[in-house]
Amino acid sequence: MIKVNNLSKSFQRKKVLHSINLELDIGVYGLLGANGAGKTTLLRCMAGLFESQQGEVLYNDEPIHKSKSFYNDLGYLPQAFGMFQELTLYEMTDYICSLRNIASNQCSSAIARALESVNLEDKARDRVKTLSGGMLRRAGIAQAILGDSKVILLDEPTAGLDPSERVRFKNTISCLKQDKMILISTHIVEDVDACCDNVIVIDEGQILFNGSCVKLKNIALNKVYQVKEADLAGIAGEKFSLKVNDKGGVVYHRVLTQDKQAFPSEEPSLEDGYMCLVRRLA
Amino acid sequence: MRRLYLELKNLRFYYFVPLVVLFILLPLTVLASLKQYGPSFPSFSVICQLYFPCFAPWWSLFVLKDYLNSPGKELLFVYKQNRDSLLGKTIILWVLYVLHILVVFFAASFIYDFVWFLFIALIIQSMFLTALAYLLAALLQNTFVPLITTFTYSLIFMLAGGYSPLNIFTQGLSDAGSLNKMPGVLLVAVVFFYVGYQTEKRLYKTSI
Repeated sequence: MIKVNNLSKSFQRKKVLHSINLELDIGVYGLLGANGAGKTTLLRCMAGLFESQQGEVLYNDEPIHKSKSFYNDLGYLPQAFGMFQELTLYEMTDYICSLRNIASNQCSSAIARALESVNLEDKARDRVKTLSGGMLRRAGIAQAILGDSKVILLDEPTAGLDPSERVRFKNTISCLKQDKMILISTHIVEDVDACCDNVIVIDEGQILFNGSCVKLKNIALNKVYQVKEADLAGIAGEKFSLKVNDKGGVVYHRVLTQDKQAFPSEEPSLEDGYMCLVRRLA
Repeated sequence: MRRLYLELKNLRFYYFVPLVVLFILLPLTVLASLKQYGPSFPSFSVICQLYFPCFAPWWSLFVLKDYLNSPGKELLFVYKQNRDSLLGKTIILWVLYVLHILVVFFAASFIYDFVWFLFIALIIQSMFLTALAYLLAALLQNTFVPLITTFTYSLIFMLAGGYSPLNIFTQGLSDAGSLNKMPGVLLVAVVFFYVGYQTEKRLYKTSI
């Protein structure tokens, strides 16, 4: 569906993306990386916003800027969202329908479905400027899933959402994913774990990993240990303390290490796999 | 048309400002002038040139605000891509404004002679200020500075411009000869639109 071929992007002398190669088909992909890793730049290149210095983005084997169907099939949510403050939410979404060439006789039902998906149907007649930050984010998700978008690119979709809305977002993605390519850029590992079938890890503009969530977890297999603080010094080799928690007054460290330890290892999580990759413990 | 309707609806109070000027403030000023000087065409010409051209970029600039200044500009840019240009919006809104001027001039033609020479001049002056505002908006990625610039230009040159070559306004306008300046103004307006469009294509993407 979407192919990214040898894509590089620089801003003046700073190279942000280094020869990215990706092939994304139907499914939900999580684009995971630290702040400044190049997630947003990659998404913007994939949306046709940035022209790359090298390489190209293809949609159904056609460069996106030449593809007639790409922009009709694209649903996009940028990090910053909010315009037409004086229109109602319904009107703002209607405007997006028109921009996206959704037939006017289908707009009304498409808007109703999208707003229902994000639990904003009762706010349809409210002005955009009266919506809270979280509601605005949900409105952004609604416009991205409007109609029959085949390609949905979401940049930090869950930023500012409360826990119940995050659950709702995950359910919405699960319902939508049947025949679509959805790419969710985030630095929240839990969101990827809950929503995505596949994960792409990007660090300093390079793809470190592209595969299933299970595969990423397995990178940390036999590398995760839960140790008491007092025993921390006993861990052999190079180590990285991932989490510190207090259980009944005893402080435990969740430690990542490449060296086999004398005590049993823990079941790895997606976060452990991700940290192994970015700490080069893989 | 649906997008244009929603863009204008989004202006709310600001949408009505040019209408108030065209259909309330200007007729009231003309009435005051009629009472004081009788049906004097030169004073009508001054009033029209003072009010009409400076409000020509008003709707365009307020509509472009969401495309240039709002947090949603990235999204709007991705969706609009090759379908829509800010130049297209600007020209459509200028045409809409000219249609409103036409209504006023139709009424004025019952009182004054020579109004159609003035009408032609006002169309070109409005186009010039709209093009200037569009160029500045595309260049600065901002709509406030162009608005202030076009208003300041209109006030300074209309009230104290005299015979400066930079002045697009003309005294009199009672015959074809008084339109001498207008082909040059029209040409500059077209150049501004062209340069503005090239700037829009180059700078808009990189400003995100």
